[in-house]
Amino acid sequence: MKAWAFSLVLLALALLLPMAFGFSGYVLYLLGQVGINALAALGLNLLMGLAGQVSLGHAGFVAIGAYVSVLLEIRAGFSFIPSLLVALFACGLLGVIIGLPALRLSGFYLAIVTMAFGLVTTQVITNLDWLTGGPHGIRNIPWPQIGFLTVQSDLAMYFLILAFLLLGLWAYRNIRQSRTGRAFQALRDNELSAQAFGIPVARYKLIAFVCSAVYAGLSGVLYAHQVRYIHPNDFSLFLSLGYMAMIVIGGLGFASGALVGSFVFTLLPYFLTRMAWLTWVIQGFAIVFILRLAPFGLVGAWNVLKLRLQRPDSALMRLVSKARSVRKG
Amino acid sequence: MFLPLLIGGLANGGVYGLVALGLVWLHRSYGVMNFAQGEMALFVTFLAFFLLQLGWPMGGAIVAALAAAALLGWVVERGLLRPFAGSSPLSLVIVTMGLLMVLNGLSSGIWGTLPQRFPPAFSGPPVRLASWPVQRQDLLILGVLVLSVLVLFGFLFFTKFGLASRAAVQNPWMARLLGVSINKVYGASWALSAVLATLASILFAPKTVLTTSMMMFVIVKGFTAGVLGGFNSLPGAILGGMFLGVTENLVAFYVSTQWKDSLALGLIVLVLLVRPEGLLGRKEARRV
Repeated sequence: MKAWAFSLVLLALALLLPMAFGFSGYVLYLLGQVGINALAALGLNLLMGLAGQVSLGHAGFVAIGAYVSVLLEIRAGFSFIPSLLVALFACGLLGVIIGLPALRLSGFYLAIVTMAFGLVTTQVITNLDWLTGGPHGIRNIPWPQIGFLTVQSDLAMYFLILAFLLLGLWAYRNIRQSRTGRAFQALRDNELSAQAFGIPVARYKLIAFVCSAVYAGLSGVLYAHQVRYIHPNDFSLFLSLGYMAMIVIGGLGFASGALVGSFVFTLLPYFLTRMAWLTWVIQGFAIVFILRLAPFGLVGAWNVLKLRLQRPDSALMRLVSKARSVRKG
Repeated sequence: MFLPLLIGGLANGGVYGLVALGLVWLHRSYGVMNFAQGEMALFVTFLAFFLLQLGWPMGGAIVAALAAAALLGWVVERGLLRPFAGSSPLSLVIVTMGLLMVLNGLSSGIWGTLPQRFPPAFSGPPVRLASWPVQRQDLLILGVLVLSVLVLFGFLFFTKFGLASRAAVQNPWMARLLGVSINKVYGASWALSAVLATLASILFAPKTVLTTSMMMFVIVKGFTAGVLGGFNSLPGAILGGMFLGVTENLVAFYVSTQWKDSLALGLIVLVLLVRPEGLLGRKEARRV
C-alpha cells in the first residue's frame, strides 16, 4: 500500500472509530490518550529506533512540557499557543543538556544518565511545591484557547490531538527521509564508519535528542490539557518504560510502529482494571519475546509477511531468510 | 553532630556499595548492566518478608532469601540473558528493562502496593558511641559489608573457582581453552550479584518502608556509586558508595533533605563528563 493510501485509511479510522461509539466522551478520551502517547513514542522512536541512542527518561521531558505550559498559563497568563511554544523550546533546551553527556557516552552509560534524569525530574517537581503544587498536583487546567476559538469539548480536544499527531507523523517521515534522518541511521548502525564518511556525529546526536525531547514535550502539553489535572507521579519511570515497550512492540524506527504500540499499550490497562500489575508483567514479557522473535516489531513482521506473500523469490526476501538462518545459528 | 552523620552516611553508602559491587562485577564479567538488579532483590526481599510473616525466625528467612536470590540470578542468566548473548547494548538494556517490569509487576501483584514494615535483625535502642547515638542497623550494615567484601575477595583470590572467574573475565576464549567452564562462571556471576543486591535490600528495608518502589532510587544510587568508582574496579564500587552515602547525608543535614536524592544525578553527569574512568578506574581503550 502506498504511504498516502495508508494515511488515508488511518485518518478514516481515526474519524470512524469515535463515530461508531456515538462520540462517547470516554472513547474520545481513550483515543486521545492513544494519540498523546503515540507522539511521545514517536519521539523516542526517532531517538532509539533511528539514531540508536537509548533513553530511559522520556517521561521527564513529557513532565517538563506539561508543567511548563500549564504554569505559564496559570501563573503568567499566557494563552495556549505561546505557552506551547515556550514549553517545546524548554524541552528542546533540556534535550541539548541531556544530550551533551551522550556525546561522550554510549549504550549503558547513556541509559543510566537518562534514567536518573527521569527519576530526578519528578523528584524536583515534587520538591518545588511553592511553584508546582508539589504532591497535590495542579487541578482545573484551563481548556486550550487558540485565537478566538476555545477547545472545550471532548470532541474538539480529540481533533486537536489528532491534528498534532498528523503533524508529528508528517514531520517524522520528512526527517527520516532527509539528510538528517540518513545521518541518524548511519550513526545508529556504526558510529565510527559514520564518522569516517564525514558525518558530524556529535551534532547529529544532539539534533536527535532535541527533536525527540520536543515530541515528548508536545505530548506532555496535550496530556495536561486533555486530562486537565497533572501530578508528578503521572510521569514515573514506568511511563518511560511504557514508551519503550510501545516502540519495541510496534517496530523500532517505524513511525507506524509508534502508533501501533501506543494503541496496544495505552488500551491494555483499561482491559485490566484492578490488575494494574498484570499490565507490567505482560509488557515486560512482550518486549523480551518480540525482541527475540521479531526484532522490528509488529510492523516489521507485517512487512516481512507481505514480502513473502507478494514477492517470495525477490532478492530482498532471500536476504531476509538468510539473516534469519544466521541468527538461528 | 558530625560523627552520627558520618556513620549514617557510611551505612547508607554500604547499601549502595553492595548494590554497586554486584553491578560492577556483572558488567566486568558478563558485559551487561543489569537494570533489573534492584527489582530482583526487591522480589526476594518480599519473599523474606512473607516467610517472616509465616513465623520463620529472622536468620532462617534471610538464608532462604539469599538462596532464592542465587537461584533467581542463575535462572535469569540461563533463561533470559543467554539467548541474547552478543546483542547490542541497546537490546540488552531493553531485555533487562523487560525483566524489571515483570518482577515489579509480580511483586505488586503478589504482595500489594501498600507499604510494609520490615523488622530489623537486631531491635533495640541506639548504641552510644563516644556519647553520640548510633543506630544498631547502621552498625549491622557496616559489619555485613566488611564481611561480604572479605568473603568475596577470599573467594576470588584464594579458591580455584575464583581464579577461573578472574581468568574468564580477562579473556573468555583463553579461559575456555584452558578448561574453564565459562557457563558456570556466568551463572555464578549472576547468582553472586543477585545475592549482593538482596543483602543490600534486606539491610536497607528496616531503615525505610518495604514498598514496590523501594529499590528504584537505591539502584540509581548503586549505578552512581559504580560510576564514581569507574565501573571496572570492585574497591572503587565500595568507595564510590561510601562517598555518595556520606555526601548525601551532609547535603541532607546542611542543605535540605529534599534535594538529597537529586544529588546522585548531578554526581553521575559530572563524573561522566569530567572523568569517565571514575575516581579509581583505569582508562579503557576502545578497539576499532
